[in-house]
Amino acid sequence: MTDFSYRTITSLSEMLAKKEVSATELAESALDRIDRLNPDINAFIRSDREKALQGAAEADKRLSAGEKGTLLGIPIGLKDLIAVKDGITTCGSKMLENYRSPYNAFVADRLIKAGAVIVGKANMDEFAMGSSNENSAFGPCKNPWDTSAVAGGSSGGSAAAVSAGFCPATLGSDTGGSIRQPAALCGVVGLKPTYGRVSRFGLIAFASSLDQIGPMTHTVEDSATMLQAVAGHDPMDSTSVDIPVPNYADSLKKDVKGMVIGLPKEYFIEGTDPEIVSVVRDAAARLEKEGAKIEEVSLPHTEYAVPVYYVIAPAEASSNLSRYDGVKYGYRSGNGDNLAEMYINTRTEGFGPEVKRRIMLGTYALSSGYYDAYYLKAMKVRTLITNDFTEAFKKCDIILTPTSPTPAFNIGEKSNDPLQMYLSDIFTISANLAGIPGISVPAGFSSVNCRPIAIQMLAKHWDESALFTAASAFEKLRDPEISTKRAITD
Amino acid sequence: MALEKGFPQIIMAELSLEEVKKVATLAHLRFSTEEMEIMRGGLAQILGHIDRLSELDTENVPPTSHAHKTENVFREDETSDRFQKGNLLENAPASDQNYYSVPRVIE
Repeated sequence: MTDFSYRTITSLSEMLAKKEVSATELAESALDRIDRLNPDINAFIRSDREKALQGAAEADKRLSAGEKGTLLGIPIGLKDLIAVKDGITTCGSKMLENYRSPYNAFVADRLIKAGAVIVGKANMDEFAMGSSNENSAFGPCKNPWDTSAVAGGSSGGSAAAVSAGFCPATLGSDTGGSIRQPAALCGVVGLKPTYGRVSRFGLIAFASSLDQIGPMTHTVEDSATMLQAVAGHDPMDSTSVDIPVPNYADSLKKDVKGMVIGLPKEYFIEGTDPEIVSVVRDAAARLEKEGAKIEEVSLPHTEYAVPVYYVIAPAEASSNLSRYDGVKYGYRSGNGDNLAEMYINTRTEGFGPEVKRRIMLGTYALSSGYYDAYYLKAMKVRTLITNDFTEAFKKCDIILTPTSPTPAFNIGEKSNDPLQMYLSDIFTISANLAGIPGISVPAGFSSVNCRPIAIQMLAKHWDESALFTAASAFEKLRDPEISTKRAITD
Repeated sequence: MALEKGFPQIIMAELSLEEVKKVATLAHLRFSTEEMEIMRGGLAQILGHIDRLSELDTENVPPTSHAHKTENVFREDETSDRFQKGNLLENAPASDQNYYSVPRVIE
C-alpha cells in the first residue's frame, strides 16, 4: 500500500482528483498510523474511527459527483479546544473530560463543509496554558523527532500530529506563541493569523483579546490553503473583522525582490541558542541574495512583552475561567453539601496546577488595590509594544526573528520553574499583544540531538500575504534536507 | 550585529502567605499548606518579573484593551434555534426536568 504520511494537502488533493486514492483510503491510512504510533507520541487525545470514516465516505460521494475542493477528503486534526458537535472537547482538562459540545466551532463548520475529514482531537496544555504540553490532564505530548523532548505548547499535539505524519494539517490556537513555538520545536509550519482574521466562535476561551486560531502544516502552501478555508467574518464573533480575505495562493507566486526584511536587534539576545541566532542570520542572507533588502530595526519595548503578557493573559483567563463552577457543564465535585462549597471543590479538583497559578495571578492583578499597578499598567505598556511595531513597519515589510530561544527541551526540564517556562515564548508573545500575524518556518536542526530549529516572520495587521510570500521564498532557499527529512521514518 | 543583553535576572516580589490566601478565596480555590507555599513562591517570582513594568513612564500612554479598535458591534435582538434546551441540559452535571440542579443554597 502506498504511504500517504508526510504528503502535503496539495499532493493528496491532486491524487484524490485523479482518483489515484479515495478519501476512505486516506482516512484508513491515517487512522492506522495513529493507532500504531499515537501511544508513543500522545499527539491525539481522541481519534474517532467510525466518525472519521463516515466523513470520508461522505467526501468520496462528493468527489464521485464531480465536486472539487482542495480540502475535500483531506484528513485533518483539531486542537481539543475547538468544539466539534456531538464529540468530546476536553481543552486538555479534567474539568471538561466529558464535555460534549452542542455546536460546531466556526472553523470546524467551515472545514467539515469543505469536506475535510477530522481524524483526531489534538493534545494540548490544559486550557492552552503552557509551552511544553506537559500541563495536559491527558499526559504530555512527545516530540516525534525525539520522544525524550517536549513537543512545545500549548498546541503541542497539533504540531506533533503533523510532524509524526498522522495528517497533513491541523488547527491550533495561539495566545502567546502556542502555534508558532510548538511548530518550531516539531519542525512544521505554524501560522498565527492577525487577531480578528479567524472567528473564535467555538474556541474555548483562554485570553480573549489574544487568542487566535491558525493552521499547522508541512508547507507554507498548505498553510495558505488552510487559512483560506477558515478566514473571514463571522457574526457570532464580534471581534472577527469584516474585511475582504485575499486569495492567498497568489501571494505564493510572488518573489521577495525589493521586499524589506527587518531584523530587530532586541530579538538577538544573549541566552538564545547561538545556533538559532546563526540560522536566522543565514535565512536573512539567503533572502538578501534573492533580492530582499535587510534593514536593522528596533522594537525597544520587547523586554516588557513577557511581563505585560503575564498580567493581561492571566487577568482575562481568571475572568473567562470563572464559568467553570460545576453547574451548567463540566466536572462537578461530589464533595460539599452547599453551593459555595461545591464551587470551591469543583474548581480545586477540576483544574490542574498551572491553570490554578494563572487564575491566582490574574485574580491578584485584578483585585482591588492592584488593578492600576498591574492591569492598567500592562494595558498601557501593551500600547507601547504595539507602537513599536507600527514604527518598525514603516521601515520594513517583514520582521525576521527566531521563533524560540532554544530547540525542544527535555520533558521535565522546565516543569518546576514557571518563569523559565514562560520565557520560552519571549519571541512570540509580542505579536499577540499587537495583534499582528506571524509564521514559524523550519530552518534547520541543532547539532546536538538533531532537534528542529525555526525562524519566525512577522507582518503588519492583515498582511498574511506578505508572510506567505517571504516564507514560501525561504522554503525554496533553505537547505533541501529540511524539506525531505522526516521525524519518523518507517 | 552583536548580541544584546540577555535574559532577565530573577527578582522575587514580596508576597505574604496571607495575601495568597485572600486571592485563593476570591478565585474560589483551596490549597493545602504545602501547595500554598509553592503557589506563593511561583507567584512571587512571576510578580517580581512583572514589577519591571514600573521602570516605564506611562503617564500619557492610553491603555490598549484590544488589538483592534472595534466600536460596539450591534445586531438585531432576535432569537435563534441554534441551541435546544435539551441539548444544553445533557451537559449538566445534574438537572431536574428543565432546570439545572445545584446543592442547597439556603439552610
